[in-house]
Amino acid sequence: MNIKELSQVLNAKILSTGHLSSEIKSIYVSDLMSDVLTFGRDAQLLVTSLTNQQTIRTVEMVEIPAICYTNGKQPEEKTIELAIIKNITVLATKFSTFQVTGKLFAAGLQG
Amino acid sequence: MNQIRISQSVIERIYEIRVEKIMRTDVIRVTPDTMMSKLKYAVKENNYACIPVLEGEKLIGQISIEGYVDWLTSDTGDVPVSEIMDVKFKTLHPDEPVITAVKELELIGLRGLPVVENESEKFLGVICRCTMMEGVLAELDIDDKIEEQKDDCLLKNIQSSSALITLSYIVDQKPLEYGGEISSSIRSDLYKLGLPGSIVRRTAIAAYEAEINLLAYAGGGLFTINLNTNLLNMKIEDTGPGIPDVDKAMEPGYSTAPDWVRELGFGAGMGLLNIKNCSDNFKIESTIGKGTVLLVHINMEGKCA
Repeated sequence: MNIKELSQVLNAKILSTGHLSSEIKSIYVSDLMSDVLTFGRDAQLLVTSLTNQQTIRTVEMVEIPAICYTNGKQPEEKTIELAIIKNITVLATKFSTFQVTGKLFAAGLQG
Repeated sequence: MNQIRISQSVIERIYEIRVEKIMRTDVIRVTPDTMMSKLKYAVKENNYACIPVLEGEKLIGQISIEGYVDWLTSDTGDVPVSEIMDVKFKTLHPDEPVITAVKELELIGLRGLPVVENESEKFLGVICRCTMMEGVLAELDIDDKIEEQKDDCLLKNIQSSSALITLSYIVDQKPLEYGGEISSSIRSDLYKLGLPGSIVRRTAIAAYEAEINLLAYAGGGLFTINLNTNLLNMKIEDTGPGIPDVDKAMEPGYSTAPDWVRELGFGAGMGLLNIKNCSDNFKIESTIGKGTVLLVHINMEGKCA
């Protein structure tokens, strides 16, 4: 599934396009950036309800191409600007982190 | 805003993209004797662009969205497509540049144009406004990746029998939310030097963890990276308060982080350990009241392809 298709599954708004055609095979879910840096290195998408700039810095370092903010949270302008500069896809969905995980699992993403 | 600046090379590449690369081939086609009333689904499925009318594989006409709406609002009744379809219309060839398609669509004001094979007029697909931009972006994305792979490792390709490059970066005291600016520069500089992704990623993660520590506890510090053909050495030093119990600080989950650090998603007690895990060799020296020095060694041997 690519990021574009995934955004449809989550009914998510695309706040920064980045690489929409990137293939998503593995997902990491956490609000703890330290954990993402340690365990999230094989993921292509980070699902989190933390919306500050450090989330973008974290995925940049780990080279995760896309991030999805949950719970209908709107990241601040600076976060989105940084994502655009770093060419990282940013999605925002109204669903909770739990619901997002469930929907993506049901859609066949189980890594 | 500077991020919307499009580089010359991107513009050049847009000119190089051919119609065949971004046309939609999965559109619904109809035969001349299809009844107009059956087109409702095809109109939507084809992105309200156009519906090609085929005899065998040959394109003999098209129903434009404008033509369909005209029929809907007229008293013509349900007739075969052949009575309504346009037979004189502009088509595109697969080897034409996408820019030509953009100009044609703008000029004619249509939502889509069919693509046919150069001489046989065999129908191939449709270029439509709504999917065109997506297609172009996808193409640029793919090209980006190819270009990245072309980069060679500078340090492996030079003729000199030995080489040493030193990079240094000062981390000023700043609010923690700016943490990562220096690591981001390190990462981008190492890529510019042609280092392989696996090495750059480990270095960047270690640098980022260290940078967060420098800002959270030490009021800033200094990064020095020494690179030679087979080793990357990164020294991170500060003149902060020092770590009272280094062994304890290395334990997973041990953290003294205050709430304001935790609120930004850090302070889980993984930082130093993660830096160590990113290294092939790791040393830490800390003196209370004087500061902390971290040494991160990453081997490049055999991994620089």
